[in-house]
Amino acid sequence: MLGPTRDTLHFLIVDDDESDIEFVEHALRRIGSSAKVSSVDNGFDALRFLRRESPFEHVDAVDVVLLDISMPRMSGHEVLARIRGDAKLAALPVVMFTSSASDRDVDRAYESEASSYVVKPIDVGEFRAAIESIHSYWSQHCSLPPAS
Amino acid sequence: MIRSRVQALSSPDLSVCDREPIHTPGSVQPDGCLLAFDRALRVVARSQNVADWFGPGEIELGAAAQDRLDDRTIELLRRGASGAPPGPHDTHTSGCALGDAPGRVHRNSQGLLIAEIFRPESTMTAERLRALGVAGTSLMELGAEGDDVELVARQVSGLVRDAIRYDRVMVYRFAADGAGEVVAESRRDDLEPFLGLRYPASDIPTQARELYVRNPVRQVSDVGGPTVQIEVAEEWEGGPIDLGEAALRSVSPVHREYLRNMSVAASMSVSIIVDGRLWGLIACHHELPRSLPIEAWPMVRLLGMVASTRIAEIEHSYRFGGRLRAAEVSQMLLSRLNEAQSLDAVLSAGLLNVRALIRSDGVQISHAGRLYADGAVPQQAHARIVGAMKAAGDTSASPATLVHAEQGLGPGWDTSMPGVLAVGGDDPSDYVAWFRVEQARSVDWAGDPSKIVERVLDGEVRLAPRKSFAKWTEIVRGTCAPWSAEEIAVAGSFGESLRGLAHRDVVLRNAALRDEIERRKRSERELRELTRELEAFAHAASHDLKQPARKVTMRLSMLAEALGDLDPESRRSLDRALADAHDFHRIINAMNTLANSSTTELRMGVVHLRQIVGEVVNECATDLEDAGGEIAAHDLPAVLGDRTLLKRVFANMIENAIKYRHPDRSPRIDISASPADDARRVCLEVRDNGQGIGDDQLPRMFEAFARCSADRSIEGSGLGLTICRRIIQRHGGVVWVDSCAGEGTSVFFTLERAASPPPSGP
Repeated sequence: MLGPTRDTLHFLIVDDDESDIEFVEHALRRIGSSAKVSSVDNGFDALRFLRRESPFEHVDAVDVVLLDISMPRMSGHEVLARIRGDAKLAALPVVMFTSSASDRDVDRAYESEASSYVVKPIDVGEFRAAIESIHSYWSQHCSLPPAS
Repeated sequence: MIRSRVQALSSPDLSVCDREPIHTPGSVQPDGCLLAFDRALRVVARSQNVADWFGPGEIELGAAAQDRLDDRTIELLRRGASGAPPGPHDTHTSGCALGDAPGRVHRNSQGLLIAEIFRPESTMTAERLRALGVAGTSLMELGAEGDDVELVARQVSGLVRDAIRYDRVMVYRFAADGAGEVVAESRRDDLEPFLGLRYPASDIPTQARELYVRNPVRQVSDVGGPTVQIEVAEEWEGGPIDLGEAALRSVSPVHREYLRNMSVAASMSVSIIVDGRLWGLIACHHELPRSLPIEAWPMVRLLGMVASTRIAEIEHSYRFGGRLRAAEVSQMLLSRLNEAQSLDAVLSAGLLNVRALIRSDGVQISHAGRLYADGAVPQQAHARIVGAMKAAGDTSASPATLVHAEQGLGPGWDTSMPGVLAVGGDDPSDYVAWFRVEQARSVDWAGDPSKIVERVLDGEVRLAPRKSFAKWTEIVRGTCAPWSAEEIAVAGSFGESLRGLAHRDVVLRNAALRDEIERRKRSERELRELTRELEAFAHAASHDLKQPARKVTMRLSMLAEALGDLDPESRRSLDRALADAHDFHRIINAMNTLANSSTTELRMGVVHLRQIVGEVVNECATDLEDAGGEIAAHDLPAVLGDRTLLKRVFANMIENAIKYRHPDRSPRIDISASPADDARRVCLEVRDNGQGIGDDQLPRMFEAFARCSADRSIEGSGLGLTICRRIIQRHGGVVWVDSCAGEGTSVFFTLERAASPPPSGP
């Protein structure tokens, strides 16, 4: 099994809505990305996935997390706070990718050091553009040598 | 030894008639003889004619009765001495020692037993006694039908004259001031009528009226006849003998002259006493000497009592009938009040009934600073009545104050309405008053009443009976028909009810106020509850609809892309569906924002408006640039509030200003602050030069989904300003709009100033 390379980003989509996962995969396909997409539908699985805990002992390392906010049991804000509170994961790029445009959510996400906050567009073209810009930004970012 | 002296005669020309001691005339009429005994039954006084009955020298002053009188008479005297109390009574009896001679015994105010013995020849026939009995019975029977005092008076005068056959029998009524009026008359046809004539109070002076109460039957058998002097034992120290209740008491010289001037030789009068007061007299006149035998007196007295009873009955029914009506009216007003009508409405509607309680030309009720009037009311009546109420209230311990006048209340009173009868409540400015117009009326006096007093030679003012009884007519002006005692009683009784009504009103209003407060509290609670439920519902609904709306839109746009070329109709349909889906999504989002604005907890802190406006300007820089507009913020202060929500307010307002810009000019937005009315607050203004809003639309601006622009192409949820208002209200502020169609709009709102100064630097 090939290890992760910087050319092939590994996205982890944390979203309880299957449609949104489908939209992201669809957008990535359409922009010709070879990015790998994994998904979980709740915050607990997301943390286990990132920490490669059971049942995710063998998954690939994640490059960018696309994190929804409104989820049952554990909100995206909570997941972000735990990532930032975990020394091994703290530097991980987390893009809040949510339907909420609420000022409160935006403010809170940045207070918790979200890497970026993107409101899910509702037009296929805009959606694709959003995914494309996330993809290209983090592709470049992740090709750089990791900070020491 | 016989020691005697003639009791000093009263002077025939008394200076003032009222002072004449008519109960101690010192003489008797010659129809009988009189003896006065002390407690030991010794003769204290005797009329000079006792010898005509007992024989010369038989009755000596100071002698014991048992020495001269037979056992039966002694027994009679003893009984009188022990049983009869002093004062007005009629312990008449008959059968003295002298065969058929009738007698009468009573005890006078000095404790003396007065025995009167009459001539046997004056004894009445059985037939005439029966006639008197018939008169009394008839009068009682007629009583079942009559309800009018004057009718009863006419019956009395007719029946009495039939029974006793005097030339003239009148019923004479006293007014409160003692003046009298002939209210009924039965007379010999050839005599001049006296009906309707008035007699001044001095014609029957006070002490004479008092005697009429003590002794209800009075007879003068021969005005021109001699009088018989009373001899008093020298040992007697008790002063002149009181003959107040003696049937034989002689007539005062003044009265004698008075009767003679009226061509009356004999008179007889029977008192009509109502409620202990001398109401009037049955006055009988005869041109020739005439007397009614002593046996007939109880009958005559009984007739007087029947008349008195009937008149009292009528007067009571007037009074209590009036009070009954007053009670009915009060009850009606009270029940209306209890039916939740205001006292104001009750008084207005009931005014006619109140007026009808008393014969009047107008009525006015003053209550709680309001006047209710019906009919004619004298000018400036209110102030005068209140003044009179105050004056009367100060001197009266009773809670109800009555004021009545027949010639107005003081000088300057409206002379066309001189009659006022007012009854007040606890407060002198609360009253009910009835008014009467002037009644110019003619009063017929029996002779000129001003001619009673004559000045005699020595300069002393003396009273002499007038010589002429020819009708003398006086026109009385500036006076209303008098308020009767009945009417005054009705007014008093209604006044009490009115006070009760006012008290009841206070009780009811307090209860209504409590209910109203309770009801409002309940509605507020319910409203808060409802608002919370609605907000929760809106929040849940908008949240749950948000995801489907977003995904439907997203999938529609994917479908539109995937389908590629389409026939124009399908393409148009799809585009329309996409546009609608976008609208749907936008509205749901705005509703969600509104719901969040209402329910989200406020996180209060110091908010530097300059900062948040700066941030908003940055965020909408693209839109602003596209529109070619500019924003100027002037000296914005720091306020207390929720930073996120206040930023939403400015964002919405700036968004609106750009969205509804004027098509012919680039948008210009000025944001400024000024002092608010409340010094703790600041007033913010967001002014644009956009399309503006017409006056007709202004009131609806803050309503949800009220889009005031005619331009449907502009995207909007219709909730932007609603959200702003909700946020400002939650901050305790107010928001309003000033706009002029075609020129621009200013949105104003107030926020609480923060104590700290704005930060220095950018």
